[in-house]
Order: sequence, then C-alpha cells, then structure tokens
Amino acid sequence: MMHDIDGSNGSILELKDVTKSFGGIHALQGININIQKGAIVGLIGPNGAGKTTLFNMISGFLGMDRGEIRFNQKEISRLYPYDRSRLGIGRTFQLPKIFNNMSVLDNVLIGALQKSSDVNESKQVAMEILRDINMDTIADSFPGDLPIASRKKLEICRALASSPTLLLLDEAISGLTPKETLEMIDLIEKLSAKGITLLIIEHVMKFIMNISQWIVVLNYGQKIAEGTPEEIARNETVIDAYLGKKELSC
Amino acid sequence: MEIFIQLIINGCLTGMTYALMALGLSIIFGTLGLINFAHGDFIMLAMYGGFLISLCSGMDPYLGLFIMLPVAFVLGIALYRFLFKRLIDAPEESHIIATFGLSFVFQYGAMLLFSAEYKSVSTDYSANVFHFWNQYIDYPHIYGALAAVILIALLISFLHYTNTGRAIRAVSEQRRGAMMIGINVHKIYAIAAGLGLCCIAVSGVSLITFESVHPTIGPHFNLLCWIIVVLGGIGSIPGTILGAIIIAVMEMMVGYYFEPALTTFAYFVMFLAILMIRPSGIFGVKERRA
Amino acid sequence: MKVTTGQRLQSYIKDPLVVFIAVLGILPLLSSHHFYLQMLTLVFLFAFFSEAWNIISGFGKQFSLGHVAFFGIGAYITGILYADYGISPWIGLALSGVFGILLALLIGFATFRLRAFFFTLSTIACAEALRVLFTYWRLGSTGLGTTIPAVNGLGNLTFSHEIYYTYLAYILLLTVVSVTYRITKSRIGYYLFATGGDEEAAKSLGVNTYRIKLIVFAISGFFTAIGGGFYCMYMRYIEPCMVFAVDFSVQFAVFAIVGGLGTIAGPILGSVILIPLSTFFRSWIGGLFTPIGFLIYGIILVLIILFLPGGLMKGISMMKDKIAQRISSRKE
Repeated sequence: MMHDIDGSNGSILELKDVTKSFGGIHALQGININIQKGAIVGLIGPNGAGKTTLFNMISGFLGMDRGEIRFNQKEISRLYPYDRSRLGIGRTFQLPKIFNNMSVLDNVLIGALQKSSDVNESKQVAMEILRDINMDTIADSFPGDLPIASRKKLEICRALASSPTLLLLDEAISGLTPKETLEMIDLIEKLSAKGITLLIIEHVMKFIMNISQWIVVLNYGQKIAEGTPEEIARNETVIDAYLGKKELSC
Repeated sequence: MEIFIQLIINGCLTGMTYALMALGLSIIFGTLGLINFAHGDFIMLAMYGGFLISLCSGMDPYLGLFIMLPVAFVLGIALYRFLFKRLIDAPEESHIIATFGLSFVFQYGAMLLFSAEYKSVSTDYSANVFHFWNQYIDYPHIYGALAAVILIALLISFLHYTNTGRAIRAVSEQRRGAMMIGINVHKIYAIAAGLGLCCIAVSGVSLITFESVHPTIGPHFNLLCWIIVVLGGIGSIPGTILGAIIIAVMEMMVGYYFEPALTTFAYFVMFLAILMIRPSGIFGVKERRA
Repeated sequence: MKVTTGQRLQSYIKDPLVVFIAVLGILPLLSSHHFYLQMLTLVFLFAFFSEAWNIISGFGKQFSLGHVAFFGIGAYITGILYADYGISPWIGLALSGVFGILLALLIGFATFRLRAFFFTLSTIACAEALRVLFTYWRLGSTGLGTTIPAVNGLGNLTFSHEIYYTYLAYILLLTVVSVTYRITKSRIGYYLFATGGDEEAAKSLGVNTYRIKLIVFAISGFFTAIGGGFYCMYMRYIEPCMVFAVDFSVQFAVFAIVGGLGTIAGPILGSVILIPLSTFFRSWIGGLFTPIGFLIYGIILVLIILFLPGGLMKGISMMKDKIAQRISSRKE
C-alpha cells in the first residue's frame, strides 16, 4: 500500500513479510510496510505490539526469521548495524543511549565522524548542529545530569550528525512536558524539511496524529491498519485494539 | 577399551557435580543478571565449610549439609541485600571487576585463615569402590552424583511447580515484564541468590569428598563453571547438565591420554571454538551476531 | 584556525600530564642508589603495562583479566630466542610484539562480536591455558626455569648499571603514553570511547565496534608482549608460574583502576603510588606480593568500584571542582 505525499518520491524503506519469533512468542508476523521518501510516518500500537522490535530489525540489531528489508531498493538484512547507519539509517532509542563518558559536543561528534575522519572538521559540524538547536552553550558539559528533554534532543542531534536519510525515532516525546513537546515537534518538522524521512514510535495519540502524514498500526506483532491519521482515528479495528481509549480522537 | 568406559562413567558422575556447580552460577546470572567472577571462590569456601564440619564433628560432610544449607540460603539473601543489589544496577563492567576483586579477597582471606596446604575429607566410604563389569567406581563420586541429581530434580520441580519458582523463571526471561505483573523483583532476586548458594554448598560438600581444597582453586572452578554455562547455553538447565558432562568427560580423557595439566589448555581451545561456531551454546537461544 | 608549532609547544608545556611525565624522567638522576633505581624501573615498567591494559580495558571497557598472557608470551619468546638460540633480544622483542598482536587478534576474532564478558572470560582462560602449557612443556635450557645469560652490551639488552634499565623502562612508558595520547585525539580514539560508553549506540552511528576493538586490543597486546620481553631481560630468569601468574593481570588492572580508569595519567599515578607502597609494605607485612597484599588489593578493587569508580583521577577532578566552586562562591 502506497501513500503519495507529493507523488514524486520513491520508496525509501520496504518491509516484506518480516517475521520474528522469540521462543514461542511471535513478536512480528508477516509485516509489510512501504515508506515513501520524505514522509513522516507514525508507528503506533498497544504495548508489546512489536514496534521497538521492528525498529531493531530495521536498524540491524535483531535478525529476522523470514522476510526482506529493502532500503532504497537495496536488500539490507545481512548488514550489520553500523553498515546500515552508513547507508543512511539513523535511530534513537526508547531510553536515550547517551555516551555518558564524553561531553555533549563529543556525543554529536561521534555522529559527525561518520562523514569525515578529520576530528576538527567534525567538531565544527557538531557545533553547528548544536547551535541550530540552542544546545551549544552546554557543548562542553557532560550529559550525566541533563534532563530527559535535553537527552532526547542530544540523541537526535547525534543521529542527525551522521547525515541520515531515514531516521527512526523511538518514543520521541515520552517524558516531556507540553512545552518540551512543542520544541520537539518543531525539531521534527525541521528534520522533515531537510528531506529526512521519519518513522516515529509514540504512544501519545494527539502528538502522533498531528505530526504524521501516514500511520501504521501494529498489534500483537501484526499490522492491523494503515492510513492517514483521519482514517486511523475512525478505524474500528484500531479502536478495539486500544479498548476505546479517548486519546484516539484528534 | 575398559579404561575408556571407566573414563566416561567417571566423567558422567563428576559431571553431575559440575552441573550442580554450574547451575548455581546459572541461576544467579540468569535471574539477577549478575556476572559473578567469584563463583569459584564461593565453591572453595563451601568445600572448606564441608571440611571444617567434618573435622569438628567427625560427621560425614553430607550430614553437615543440614547446617550448611540453611546457612547458605541465608548467606545468599544477605549477599544479595548488601552486595549484589548495588552491583546489579551498575554496568556489566563493574560486576566483573568488583567480583574479581572479591575473588581475591576470598582467596587470600582463606589463605590467611586456612593456610596453603591441601585439605580433603576422608569418610568411611572414601576408599570403598563399587565394582561391576570390571569397572571400579568409588562411592564418593557416586554419592556426589546422587546428591547432584536429587538437588537438581528438586530445583527443577521448584522452578516449574511453585509460584515463587515460576516467578523466578519469569524474572529471568523478562525483568521489566515481570515487574509489570506485580512480581516483587527484589524478593525474587534474594531467593534466587539463596538458591544459587545452596547449589554451591551441596556441590562443595560433594567435591571435598573426592577432591582436595586449596585457597586458590577458586579461579579454576570459576572458569570451569563459566565454560559449562556458555557451552550448554545460558539459561538452559538441560544445556548446563549436558555441558557439564561433556566437560567432565573431556577432562578425564585429556587427563588420562595426555596429561592432567593440559586440561586447562583444552578448555581454552574448546571455549574459543564454541565462541566461534556457536556462541549461544548447545541449547541456548541462537541470536544473531551484531 | 592553524596552530603554530610554537603555540603547540606552549600548550604542551602547560599540560600537567606532560609536566608530570617530564618530572618522572628526571627522577632517575636524583640518586644512584641501586634500590631507588630498581624501584623506579618497576614503577615505569608497571605504569607502562597498566597504560597498555588501560587502552582496551579503560577506554574501551572490554576488561582483559588475563593480560598476563601477553606478558608471558613476550617474556618467553624473547627469553628463549636469546638464551637458547643466541638471537638478539631486540629482534626477540620485535617478535614478541608480533605474537602479542596475533594472540590479541585470535581472542578478539572469537569474542568481539559477543557480549563483553565473553571476552573477559576468554582472556582468563587464555592466561591459564598458556601458563599450564608452558609449565607442561618445560621450555628452556635449565629445566623448568630459563636463565638468561648475562653478557653486557646494548645489543644484548644487558647492562651492568641499573640506570640503563630504568631509562629503557621510561622510554617504553613514553612510547605507550604518546601512542595512547595520539589515539585519544584521533577518530579511532573517539570511536573507542563511544564503544566503551554504549556499544549499541555506537553501532547505530556507524562505528564498526568490532574492528575498533580488534585494533586497540592488538596495540595493547603488542606493547604488553614487548614489555614482557623486556622484563625477561631485566630479571634474567623466567619460569612459567612466574611470568604467567595472575598476579600480574591483577596488578595491571589495579594500578589503572586506582589511578583512574580510562584516563592517561591514571595508570601512571596508580603505579607511582602503589609500587613504593608495596615495597614499604614488604618490610611490614611481608609485601604486597603476599596473601595480605592481595587481600588488600582485592578489597581496594571492590571499594573503588563501589564508591569511586573513576579512581584517583576522578577524586582529583572532583576536588578541583569543589575548590573552583568555593572560589567562585567566595567572590560573591
């Protein structure tokens, strides 16, 4: 199923029949997803639906039992995570995995070093990114005591520094205050404006419905619905899955 | 040929005791997620425990278990509360270094307490030998295997048929999930630690009846148990038992056909081989290398 | 913005680390007392070993608890080649280094794609295996132990006066510190920190953590093996239980951890403090190479990991921060 944002882009990520079991548990069953370049896609579903597992599969941290993953038409399921990053897949994690043993700037630097092996040049790039987001003032401090909002932003900056074309954001705004959420929405829109395709996992319905152009719904490892936010909000199967939660209205 | 069979039988029997030792490790590692490099030293201490009880009371060390088992269980809980709990939240590297340091404290503390001589226990049956089909098997090994089988059976029943046991298994597999359905994780950790130490206590007692103890044998048993756990597959009880038997049989073979000292070299080679071919072990969950 | 050589030199001179190392370099000249120089040689040597260990274990957080394997291999290769075949110890050192690299690659190849504790386990198993192997083989000219002939000369790496050894050890230390320093400023260094900080995050950013670990472990093994060869020529006698003793693995680790894991000055600091301490302890309780000594090492390790994982360097920087805070609050 395709969604045509402006009709001119091709598919950046294609999942065909992606299946994964852990012991007797079917984490993902026959997932088929097609994501267009430049889109902002929301991935939702109740807890345990398999969303993060899917992210792990796309980014290379988990292997599949069956299926295909194509990035820009290229089959990537045999590639290690770092090779996928070099192809242009970036990600953040459910609980931000910041390098606590180095400064904020150095964190972003690691991302930048993917594009240029010159440390000084990469430091400039990293600084630029921090400046864009008003975090340059804390560039030299250590991230240990940073509040959650800053850590999430830092993680995004770090991924951004590696020049991804597809960015997987896992729980983009969980733990953030409304004001911080607005900042994050701002950041996400900026990322999209740069042409980066975004795949976002989030539980806060209002947020995901507002920001996504397309939504994919998972439940118990299966894709149960897919469509525009309006379509999804009306979709009975989806509403059932969430047991009629009020947040679905937008 | 007879020797060959003898070696295999001895290997299987000793393997059961090894399996018990390794299970102690597996429980603590699997449930708490704690990497304990002082495990072998706990075994060493258990062996001394058996020795002392036998020395002081003249009883068979197995009878001493009536005292040692409860002590071991309580000790496990105490260890959890005062040490393991702090380590669990720290990164894995800290587990390794901290327990490595602990290992030294135990080794050299034991050396100061017990001196560096080799000690062992002789019971009325030490010299007795079970004789069938031209094979000679000594009783200590038989009793050791028996004790191990009994305890392992008890353990498996506990894990599968009691609520606490099932809770332990749940926590091993999914800590967060278990917390969500209301399992008091700390209580489970403490019990698991206690159980682990019980396994250690029993295997220590068995060992002292057919091997000698020395303050620095800890690292040897430590390596042994870890290799068994990796070979069998982390988190798999049948795997651990099978792994233990394989290792014990290999030990007998290498020791007889080559040289006893070379067994450690054999472990290393086999360990590297396992890691390169199938790091998840015999029955472990096969996971993709990233 | 280009930095001139003059500016760069100035910044070097102001760097406390450089000053510290320069001061160390002058120490051997302060007294020609044999005991004093001997202790300095050991201080430099163990600082060297700790630094080498620190590269993979401190920066990379892959703990090698069997580093003595490299030490022993280096000692034996250099020792046997010289004692039994008359090959120059300098060539022996080079070969030791090569074997150090090979051993590191072997272990790394088997373990670096797996969880870090598999690596640690392998290093322990390796050290034990080698110790057992060499004991069994009884290598050497005189039964179990190997005595190194004492024919003086730079070509034979044998000297009559202790100070030559002291300065050679110092040069070794300088070398490993410079290499470590260059690494920390390079992309490999940053990637190494990332690997040690959070390996998964590093991988998600394009870091080939497997390769980084291999490279760094090989460097560490290389240096440790060469140091082992030097140690052999210094002691002029080696036997398996001596050069494959786990005591060395412990010391390399303790010095680095006490001084400050993952810092460049840490291992040196640890060595500078603990070696003289152990020497003085020798008269008091029989020395740090004895049961009480290792008991204390064990306790120190546990305490430091639980309460001050950053070691002395962290303690120093915490104090600096407190002092700076006090100064700035006083200004108000």
